[in-house]
Amino acid sequence: MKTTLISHICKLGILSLCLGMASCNDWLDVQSKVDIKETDVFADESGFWDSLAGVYSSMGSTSLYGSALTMSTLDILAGYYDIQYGQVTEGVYNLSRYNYLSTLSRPTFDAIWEDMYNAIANDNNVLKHLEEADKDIFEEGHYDLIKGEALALRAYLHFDLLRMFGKAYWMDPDAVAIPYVKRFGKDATPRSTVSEVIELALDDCRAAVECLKNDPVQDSSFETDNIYLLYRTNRLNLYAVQALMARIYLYRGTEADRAEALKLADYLIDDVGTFDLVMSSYMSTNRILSGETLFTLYKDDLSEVYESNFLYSYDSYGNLIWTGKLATRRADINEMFNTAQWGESKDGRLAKLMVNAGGYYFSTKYEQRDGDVQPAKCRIPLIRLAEMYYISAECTDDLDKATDRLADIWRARGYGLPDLGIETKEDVLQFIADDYRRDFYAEGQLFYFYKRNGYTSIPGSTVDISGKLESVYVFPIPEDEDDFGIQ
Amino acid sequence: MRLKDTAVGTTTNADGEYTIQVSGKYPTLVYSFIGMESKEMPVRGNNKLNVTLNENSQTLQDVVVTGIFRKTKELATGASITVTGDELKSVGNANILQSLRTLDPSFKILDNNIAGSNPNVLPNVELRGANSISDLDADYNGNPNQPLFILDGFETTLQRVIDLDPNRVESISILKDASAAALYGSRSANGVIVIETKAPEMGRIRVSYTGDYAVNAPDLTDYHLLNAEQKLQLQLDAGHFDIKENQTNSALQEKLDYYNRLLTNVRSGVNTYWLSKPLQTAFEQRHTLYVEGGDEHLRYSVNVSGKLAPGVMKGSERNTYSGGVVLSYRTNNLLIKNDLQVEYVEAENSPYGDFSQYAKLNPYFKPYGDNGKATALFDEEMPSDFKSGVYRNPLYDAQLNNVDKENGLSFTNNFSVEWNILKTLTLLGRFSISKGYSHSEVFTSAKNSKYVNMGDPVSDPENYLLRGEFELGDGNSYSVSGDLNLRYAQNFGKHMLYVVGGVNMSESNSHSTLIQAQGFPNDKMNDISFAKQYYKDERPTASYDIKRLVGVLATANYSYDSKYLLDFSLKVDGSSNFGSNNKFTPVWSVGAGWNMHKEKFFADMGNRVSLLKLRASYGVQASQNFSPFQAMQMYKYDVDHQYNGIIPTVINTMGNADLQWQKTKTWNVGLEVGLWNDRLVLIADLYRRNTSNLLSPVTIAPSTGFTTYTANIGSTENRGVEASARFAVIRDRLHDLTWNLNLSVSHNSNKITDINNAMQEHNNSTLASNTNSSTPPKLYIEGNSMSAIYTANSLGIDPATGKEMFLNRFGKVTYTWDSQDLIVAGDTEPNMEGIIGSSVIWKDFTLGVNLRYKLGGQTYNQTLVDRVENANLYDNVDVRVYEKRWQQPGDRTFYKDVKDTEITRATSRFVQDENVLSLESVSLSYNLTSPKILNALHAERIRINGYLNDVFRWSTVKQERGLSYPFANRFALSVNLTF
Repeated sequence: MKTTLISHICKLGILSLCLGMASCNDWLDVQSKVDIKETDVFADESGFWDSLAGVYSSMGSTSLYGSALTMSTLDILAGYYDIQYGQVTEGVYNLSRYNYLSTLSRPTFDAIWEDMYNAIANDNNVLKHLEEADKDIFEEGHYDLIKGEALALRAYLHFDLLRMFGKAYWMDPDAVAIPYVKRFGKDATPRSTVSEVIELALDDCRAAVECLKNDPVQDSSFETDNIYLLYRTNRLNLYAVQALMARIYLYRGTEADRAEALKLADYLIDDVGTFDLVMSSYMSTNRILSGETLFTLYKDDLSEVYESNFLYSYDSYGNLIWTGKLATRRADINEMFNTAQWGESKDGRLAKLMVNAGGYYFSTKYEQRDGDVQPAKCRIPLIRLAEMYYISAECTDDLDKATDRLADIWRARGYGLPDLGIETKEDVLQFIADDYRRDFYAEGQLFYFYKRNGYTSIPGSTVDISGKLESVYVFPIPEDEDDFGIQ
Repeated sequence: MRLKDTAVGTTTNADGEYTIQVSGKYPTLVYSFIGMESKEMPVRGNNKLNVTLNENSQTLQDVVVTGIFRKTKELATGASITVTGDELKSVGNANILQSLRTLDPSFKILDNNIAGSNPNVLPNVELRGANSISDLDADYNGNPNQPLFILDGFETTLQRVIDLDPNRVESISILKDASAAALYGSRSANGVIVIETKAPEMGRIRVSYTGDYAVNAPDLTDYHLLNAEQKLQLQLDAGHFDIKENQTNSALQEKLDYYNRLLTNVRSGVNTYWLSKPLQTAFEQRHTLYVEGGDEHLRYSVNVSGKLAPGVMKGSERNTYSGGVVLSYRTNNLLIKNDLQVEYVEAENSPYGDFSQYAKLNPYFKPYGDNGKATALFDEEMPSDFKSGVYRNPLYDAQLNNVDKENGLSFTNNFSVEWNILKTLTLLGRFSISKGYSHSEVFTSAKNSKYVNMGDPVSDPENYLLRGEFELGDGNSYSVSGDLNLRYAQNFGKHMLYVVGGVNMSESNSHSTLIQAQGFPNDKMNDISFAKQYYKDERPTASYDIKRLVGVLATANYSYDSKYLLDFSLKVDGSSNFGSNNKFTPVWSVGAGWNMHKEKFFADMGNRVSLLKLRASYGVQASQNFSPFQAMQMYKYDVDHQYNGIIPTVINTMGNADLQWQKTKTWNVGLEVGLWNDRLVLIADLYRRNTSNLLSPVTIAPSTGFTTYTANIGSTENRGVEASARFAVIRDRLHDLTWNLNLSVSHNSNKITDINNAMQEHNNSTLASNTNSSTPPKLYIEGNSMSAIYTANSLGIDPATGKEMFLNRFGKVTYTWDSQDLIVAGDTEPNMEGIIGSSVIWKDFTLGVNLRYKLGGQTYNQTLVDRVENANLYDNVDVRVYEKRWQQPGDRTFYKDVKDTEITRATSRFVQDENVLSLESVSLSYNLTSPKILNALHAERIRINGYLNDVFRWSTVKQERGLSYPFANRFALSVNLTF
C-alpha cells in the first residue's frame, strides 16, 4: 500500500515536472506593453498589412523618397537646382560638385543605403512570416495581395539601389553591384552583378504580377470599407508593378527588353482605362497629377518637407530668404521651358507647378493647399503614366507613333496641338530628354535618365564630369558594407 | 541571569557567586554570559544551583546564512562572511551598507565624487570588482555589476536595502564565490548578499525602543576658493576691465563703472561664502519601536519605525516610515511564519540646484538685496563680457515655488512553512508577494531664470506663456515569488550527508508613465491641471518591464568526521531575459575543504592551533542584469505617423534568439587560521573570475537592414586577494577587558581579455564626443583594465614656448594633442584597499575605531584642470590659480602659458597618485547594567552608542569633492532601551 502511494506520488511529480518544463518555456516568453513581439504582430492579417504599411512609411522618410530620392539629393545631382556655396550646407554643396567621398556628403549615401535596406529587411520579414503563416487567418485573396505587394516592393527598392549604387548596364553588365537581399537576418547576402540584380528584380516582379492578378485596382467600381484595400495606387498595385517592369526593361535596354517595355507601356496607356494624363487646366489643384499616378507614397507630414525644401520667405526689407531651399534660376527655367518661344503661361508644368520669386523658381508640387483635390494631398508620385508615354515613344520604331505619344503629353501639358518638329529617331530622343526635365522636376527620375543614357555632361550643372562618369553615376557603398558584408 | 519569563535578574560577583529570589510555580533560571551558550535550569526547590556554561559554539559568525537553510560554517567550502546586526550597529547607524563596507573589504561602495552625500542618489556597489562593462550600451538595466540582494529569502532592490531599518537586521551574509552563491543560479555572478531580519523571540511582551540621531555637517574642507578681494584683483590682473578689440570707449567706461561698483562692495566688506548658502547642518533621526513576545506555539512581533533624514543641501530629504507584523506558529514539527511589512518613502530634492554653481559664484556679489531678499541678478548693468561666468543668483530660483519630490508606498508579505517531516527531512516552502506604487512631481516655476530668453509678454506672448514646466511620473511594480526546498541531513557514523533539492519561480513587473506639460504662468498654480499644453508633438511616455524566472536546485554536502568536506551544487535556471533558443542555463559549483585542525597532529597541540582550514571551489555562474526584450525581435507601432489611415509598424531592433547568459567562471582558494584559541584569526582568499559572453553590440553589414545587433562577445578577468586578520591583544576575563586589532586588505585587478569590433566603434564615438572636453575619455581596450585612465603622454610644459609637449605614438615630441596618441596613464582602482581597526571592550564600554586606507591608485585631478589651468576667471576659482604659470621663455612651470585659452585635453600631467587615509568610523558604546537604574526604569537593557563617521580624510590628491552635492561628516548617537 505504502509503496504504491509513494510510486503514485513519484509519477505525479514526474508528470507535473514534465508539464512544468514544457509550459515553462511559454511562461518565460514575456510581453512588453510598449513594443510588440513579432509573433504577435503576425498573429493576424492586420499585422501583415500594418508591417507592409511600415515599409511604405519607411520609404517616405526624408532620407529616402520622402525627400532625398525625389526632391533633394537625386535632383540636386540631376542639375535642377542652383546650388551656391554658403547658401546650402557644406554637405549639399559637396553633393552638387559630385564630391561623394567628402566626410560631409558621404553620410547621405550611407543613410540611403541603410534605410533602403532597412525597408527591405522589414519587407523580407513580412515575406518570411507569410511563408510560415496559416493561410486561414487571411480573408479570401488577401494573402496573395500582401505577398504580391511585398515581392514588388523588394524589386522596386533593389532596382533603385542598383540605379544608385551599381554601374549602369552599359558600363559593365557583369560588374558586381549590390546584394539582392531575400532573407531577413544578421548574415550578409553576397553582392550580385548588375545583370543578376536586374534578373532578380524581374523575377520578383513576375511573381508579384502573378499574385496580384485579382488586384481590385482593375475594378473601377470596387468599393470597400476595409481600410487596407483602399487607395490601391498608394501601394505597389498590379499596374504599378507592370510599369516598374517596363522601367527595368528599358534600363537594361537590349533589343528584346525594349520590345517588352514597349508592350507593357502600350498596354498601360491604351488598354488600362484607370489612368489618364492630367490636363494643364486641372493642375493648379492637382499638382502631383494624381490622375496619372500609378504609384504614389502617402506621407502625412509632407507639408513639413515641402516647407524645408521649397518654402522661401522675405525679410522685412523685402529681400528673398531662401537659405537651404531648392530653386532654379529664372534663366535656366527660361531655357528649360523655351519661354522665348512658348511664353511662361502655356506649359502647365511651369505656370501651375512653379512659383517665381526674386528671380528664382520654386516647385509647388508638394505644397499642401486647402483647395487641392483629395487624391493629390500628402502624396509623392513614384510612377506616373507620362513615363509610360516616354517609354513607348523611345522604344517604338514607328516614328509616327512616337510623335503621337509625345504630342499627347504636350497636349495635356497645355500646348494644344503643336508641331513638335520631329523628323528622325534622334529628334524623338532629344525631345524626350528635354521634356523629361520639364515633367519630372523634383521627382528624382532625371538623374537615372542621364545615367542610363550615359550623358557626359549634366544640363544645368557647371561641373565637368566627362572624365569621371563612373564616380558620378555610381554612388559610394558604405564602408561598413565593405568591412562586414560579402563582396 | 534572570528568572525565566520575568524581568527579575541578577549578576554574579567576581567569584561567580549569586543569590536570587525566585517565585512562581515552576521557577526556572536562565543563565547567560557573553560568548557562552545560555542554559536553563529548573529550580525544583533546590536552594543551591551550580551551573557551568559551555562556550558558545554556534554564534552567528559560525553559520552561513544562505537564505534557504543555515549551514555550519565549519563545513562550508565557499568564501563567505556573516556579520550580525549588532556588529553593523557598532560601526554606524546610517544604513546597513555603509556599515557592511567597513566590516568586509570585498564589499565596495564606489566613491561618487559628483553626488557626494545626496540621500536620494543610489550608490554603485560591487563585490570583488566589476565583471561587465557598465557604460557599453544603454541596453543594460541598471548597474550590471551589482550583487544580488536577498532579503528574508527573496530578491530585493538596492533601494530597499538602503531604506531598510538597520535595527531590524539579524544578520547579513556575503556569499562571494561560486560555491557559496551557486544556490542563486543565474543571478549569482556578482555575488550575493543575504539579509535576514529578526524573528520574534518567545517570552513575555518585550518592548524595545531604538533612537538613532545624527548630525550631518557638510564637509567643505576640499574647497579652497578665493576671497572677494583676491578675486577682484585676479580679474583686474587678467585684464577683464581693460578694453578689448572692437570695443568702444563707452564699453570701457561701462567696465570701469562696474569695477568701481565691485570695489565698493569689497571695501564695504562683501565677501560672500557662497558654498555655505545652500547648505545646512542636518539633524537626522530614526525612531524604532519593536514589540515581541509569545509562547512556545504562537509568537509575534510588531515593528514601527520612522526616519527623517534631511540632507546637507537645504530642502533635500529622504524620509522613510515603515511598519510590520510578524507572526509565527509552531507545533512539534511545523513552523508557520508570516511577515507583513509596509513602507512609505518621501524624497525631496533640493531647490538650490547643482552645488557646483555655488563654487563658481564670485564672493564679491551680495546674495541679498537691500530688502533682504534674493535678487535675480547681482548687477543689472553687468557688462556682457562678465556674463560668461555664473551671473544669475541661484538663491533667487531656489526661493521660487518649485517642487521636486517623489514618494513611494510598498507592501511585502512573506509567508513560510517549515515542516520537519522526519528527523532527517525538512520541507521549507515560501511565498512572497509585493506591490509598490511611486509618484513623482517636478515643477519648475515660470519665474525660473532658465526661461529669461523664452518669449516676451508683449512681442511674443505665445512663447512667454509656455514658461513653467511640470513633470508627473507614476509607477507601479508587482512581484511574486515562491520556492519549495527539501532538506535531508543524516549522519552515518562519521559520515555526514546534507542534501537540498528545490524549485523556485518568480515574476516581477514594473510599469511607469511620465507626463510632461508646459505653460504655468503663475507659479502658485502648480498642479498639472493648470498646464497650458503638453509639449508640442510630445506624448506621455511609458516603460514596461517584466521578468520571469524558474529554477531547479540540487546541492549536496558530504563531510567525513568534519575533517574532509565536499560540496556540490547544481542549479538550472530559466529566465525570460534570454534568447528563445537559450532560455535555460545550468549553473554549478564544486568545492572541497580540509579542516586540518581536526587532524590528530594539530589536535594534540591543544589550543595552539584552534583553526586551520584549507578550502577551494570552482564554479560557473551566470548573471542576467539585462533588458528582458533584448533577445526578442520586437516591432514598434509608429504612432507619430499614419499611412493612409493605417498605423505602420516596423522592426524595432534585430533580435538574437541565440543570445546566451553571461557566464562567470570563478576560482577561489581560501585559508583560515586560528591560533591560541582563536586569539589570532587570519582568513585569506585568492580568487580569479573570468566572465565571458558579455553582451555587446556587433557591427553587421548594413545591407541586412541593421547596423548592429546584440551578441555575446567580450570577456573580462578579475583576479584578487583579500585577507583579514583579527588579533586579540588583550583578553583579560578578570578585569573584563578585551582589546582587538583587525586589519583587512583587498586587491583586485581587472582586465578586458576579449573585445569585439563594435567596441572599437564605441571607443571612436567616445573620442568623437570627447572633443573640447577636459575629461579623459572612457575607453575599453583589450588587455587593459576597465578603470584605466587614458590621456596623452605629457612631457610637461616647454619652457621655451609655454605649450605642453606630448610624446606621440611614433615616439616624437609634439605640441599637438591627438586622440590616437593616448596612453594608459593610470588606473583609478587602488592596488590595495582595506581597513585598520581596533576595538576595546572594557566592562560595559566598547570603543571601536576603523580607518580606511587606499594605496596605489591614480586619479585625474579635474580640479587642477577645470578650476586652475582652464579656469574661467569670470567665475570664482581654486586658490592654486596663483601658482606659477608660464609667462616668458625660460619659465619652468607645471602650468601652461597663462594666455593660452585653449582647453587642456586629457593629459598625463594631471594624473596623480592617490593614497587615501580616512577615518570611517569611531564608535563608543555603553551597556548600562546597573540593576538599580534598570529596575528604576523597569528596563531590561539600556545601550548607548556614539559614532563619528567620515570625519577625517587625508589624500595625496587635492581636489574638490562632492561637486553636485557635498559630502558630509556624521556625528551620531543611538539609544536602545528594552523593557
